[in-house]
Amino acid sequence: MGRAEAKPPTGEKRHLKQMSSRAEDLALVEAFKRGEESAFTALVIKYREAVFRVARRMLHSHEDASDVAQEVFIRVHRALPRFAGRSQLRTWLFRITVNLCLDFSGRRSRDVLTGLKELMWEPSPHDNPVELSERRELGGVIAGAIDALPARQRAMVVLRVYQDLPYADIGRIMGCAEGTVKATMFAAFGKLRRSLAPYVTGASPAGE
Amino acid sequence: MERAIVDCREARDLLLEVVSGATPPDLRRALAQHLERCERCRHEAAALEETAALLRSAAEPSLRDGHWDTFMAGLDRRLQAERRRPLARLVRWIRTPLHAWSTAAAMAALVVALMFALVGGQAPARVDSPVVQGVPIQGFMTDSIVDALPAMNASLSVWKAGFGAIDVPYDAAGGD
Repeated sequence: MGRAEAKPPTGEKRHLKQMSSRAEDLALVEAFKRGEESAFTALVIKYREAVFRVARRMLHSHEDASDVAQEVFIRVHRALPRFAGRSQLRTWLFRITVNLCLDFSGRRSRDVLTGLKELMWEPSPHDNPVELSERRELGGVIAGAIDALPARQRAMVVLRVYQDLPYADIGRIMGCAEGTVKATMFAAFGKLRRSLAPYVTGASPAGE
Repeated sequence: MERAIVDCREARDLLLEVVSGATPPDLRRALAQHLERCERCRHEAAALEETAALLRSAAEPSLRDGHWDTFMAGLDRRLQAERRRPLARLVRWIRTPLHAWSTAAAMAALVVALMFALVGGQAPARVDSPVVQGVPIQGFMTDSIVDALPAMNASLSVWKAGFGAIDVPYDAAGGD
């Protein structure tokens, strides 16, 4: 548990940061309800990257992710006047994002190869060509392993591993109980361990 | 309050949560204490952690130059198009909480006014109670109920005779 111990116990700081962010969100929503369009722009700027990253991880396409992220904010713009603040704005945004991505990937004929062409790595001028090639290959393998998961498992893995959301929030986003999130994550990780076994030293797949 | 993990099953339930992302510090400490004592769980934790680390090693794709400018311009275009649609503007106006109540009140008043205009404030026309088999039926009857009465009477005859009595004609009372 080296990684677990290396992380400082930042739970309280994290909580305070979340509270402050939530208060800021509510203030922006109220300002938007009063007719200040700039408050909506501020919300877009605050959340556009997170929304885009989730969509990008789920759809593996820059253009599709951009389209979906724009659609998320169009829907938010429509529905924001009715937002009562009972749930967190961030959770609500991710719920819209995930639902749109699930709809989108359901409609789209899934062409994994096209998706994998846009690998997870972009070259940097400092990259060693051999290392870059290996990283591209590994990035493609990881993207392929995530893409091979059923859509809901994929969404949960993306929200947990790449957005660091707590299980309770993932449950709210996916519309299921925390226990279901745990069970689904366990199944997803089992599949990922099998898919990535050649790249994980000494790991045997879960439950085997 | 510090949490204590008693068995491997509970520890393994928590392992994935701990290695896959942020978790409360007390949970991490409790799990770490268990892992110090249990080699099997330690092995499982190492394997899970390696998978999680591998997943995280797939870096976020770098964004193209001007990505957010293009994004914001596209979003602005779509919002402008949305605003130009009169129906969408009306819906948005109605959905604003301040306007929602006044809209609901205006709609209710409109419905009442329409009903008053249609009925004209007059009492409904009187319908004479029908007489079936010489017995007048009490109460207000609509034409459709009156039309249905012979068929209902025939059904009642069948029911009274029992379903086994197939010789009782369904149209005994004139139904078709």
